[in-house]
This record gives sequence, C-alpha cells and structure tokens, in this order.
Amino acid sequence: MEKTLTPEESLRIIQKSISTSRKNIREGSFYYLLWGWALILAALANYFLIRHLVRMERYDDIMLLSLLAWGAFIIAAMIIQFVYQSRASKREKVVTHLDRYIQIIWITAGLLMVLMIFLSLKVQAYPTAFILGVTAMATAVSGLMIRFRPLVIGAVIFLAAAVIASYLKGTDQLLVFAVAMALGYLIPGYIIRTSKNGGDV
Amino acid sequence: MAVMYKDLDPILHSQLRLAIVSILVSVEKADFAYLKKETGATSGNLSVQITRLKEAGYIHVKKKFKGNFPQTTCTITTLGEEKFAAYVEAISGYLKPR
Repeated sequence: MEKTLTPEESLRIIQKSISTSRKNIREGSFYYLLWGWALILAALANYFLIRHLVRMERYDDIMLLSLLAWGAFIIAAMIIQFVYQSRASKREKVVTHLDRYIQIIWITAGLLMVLMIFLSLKVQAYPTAFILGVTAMATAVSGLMIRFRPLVIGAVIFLAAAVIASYLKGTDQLLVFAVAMALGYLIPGYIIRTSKNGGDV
Repeated sequence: MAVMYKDLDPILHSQLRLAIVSILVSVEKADFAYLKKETGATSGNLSVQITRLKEAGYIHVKKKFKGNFPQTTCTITTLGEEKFAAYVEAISGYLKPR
C-alpha cells in the first residue's frame, strides 16, 4: 500500500511530471539537415542540367528532366526519412502536442507545394517563388512554436528569397533557392546539432 | 491524515498514477518505455497502475508490435482530463492559506 500523499506532494509530482514531458528540439535538426541538403542538391542538379540541355539545344527535354531531377532527390530524402523514423520508433517514444501541430503544418505545406508546382506549370511560370513562400510560412510557424530564433530568421530569409526569385530568370531562381535553403535550414540545423544540450522545448 | 483528504479522487491520489496522468495531460501520447523512464517506476508497478487507470476509463491503452518490439501507447481520455482538472482544483483548495 502506498503512503498517503499530502496536497503539497501531489503538486510536486504534477509539476515535475509536466516539466519533464517537454521535448528536446535536437531531434528536429535531422529533418532540417536532411531536407536542406536534399533540396540544395536538387536545385543545383537542376541548374546544371538546364545549362547542359540549353547548350545541347534540347529545349523540349528541359521540363521533364527537371521534374525527374527534383523527384529523384525528394524521393531519396523521403526514403531516408522513412528509415530514420522506423528506427526511432524502437526507442522510447512520446508525441507532444507541438509535435502533432508541427507535423500537420508540414503535411499541409507539402500538399500546398505540390499544388503550387501543378498550378505554376499550368500557367507556364517557375514554381520557385511560390514554393519559397509556402516554406517561409511553415518554417516561421515551426520556429515560433519551438521558440527557436534561427528558424524564424530562416523563414524571413525564405520570404526575401521568394521576392528576389520572382525578379530573376528561371535558372538564377534555382541558385537563390539553394542559397536560401543553406541559410534557412542548414544553419539552424547545424546550430541545434552543435549546441551542447540542444535546448528544451 | 487519510481522512483529511477523503474527497480527493482515490484513483489519482497515488504517487505513480498521478505522475502517469500528469505526463499524459501534457503530451499527445506516450509509450510504456517513456513513462517508465520519466516516472522511474518498475515495469511491474507501472503495468499495474496503467491497468488501473485504463479500467477506470482515465486513459486509453493501445498495444501493437513494431517489428519484433511490443509497443504500448497511452493517451489520456476526456474523462481522465476532467478528473485531473477536478483533482488539481481539489488539492489547490487544501493549499490555499486558511
């Protein structure tokens, strides 16, 4: 039989339990680094691919091969993410309310990006600026939720990059995209990874 | 002493069960290994208390296999949230200076 708790002891248990159920943001760095690198490589691969195709005067192949280049890197990143998540689920697991909200934001952002690509191809525009805009929104909300300033700054960079990209020609937009990803995702990702305690949320 | 706090919910007025419910009100869901680590309880005791909370309808327990690993995931129910809020209200009554 357990000893009877006093109200003070009860309060201590509640306070301790609630404060320990906070989550470390270190885990999030994996996703920013994975997607940061995947998208930078995809943008650069597409940039050099377009330059090559233009040199070869194969203009008709540009759209299809560009989509394939992006698809290859995005699918590779999704496979790596799937393997990472299935390994992580073998460890002890907790899903906080914030995790759930952030997950919903990124699923919505992902669907919006697909829609943006579809719509921009339909009106024969480059999707870069639209994608950067959606990324800015999702990154800003995630950064504010976990109270991590480098991510919020990253979101502002994405927004600025979206405006800059809209004034540039297609291939140059890809370079702006790659630089924005490096500043907006890789820097916050490496800051979290190299910090000693990762910081609690 | 026990008589003094007789209006406190006996299901929650226990060190381990209160800790489990406090963790679950603050997260979406948590598995057995996480609860064991956070509460520092033994597997046997934790298992018994989870069953009691489940039987009382305070928490929902889902058991499944992830590969070869059994995984027990706990979430709080609406009843559990209401009872926890009432419990906090009741103990805050005792904590107020009289």
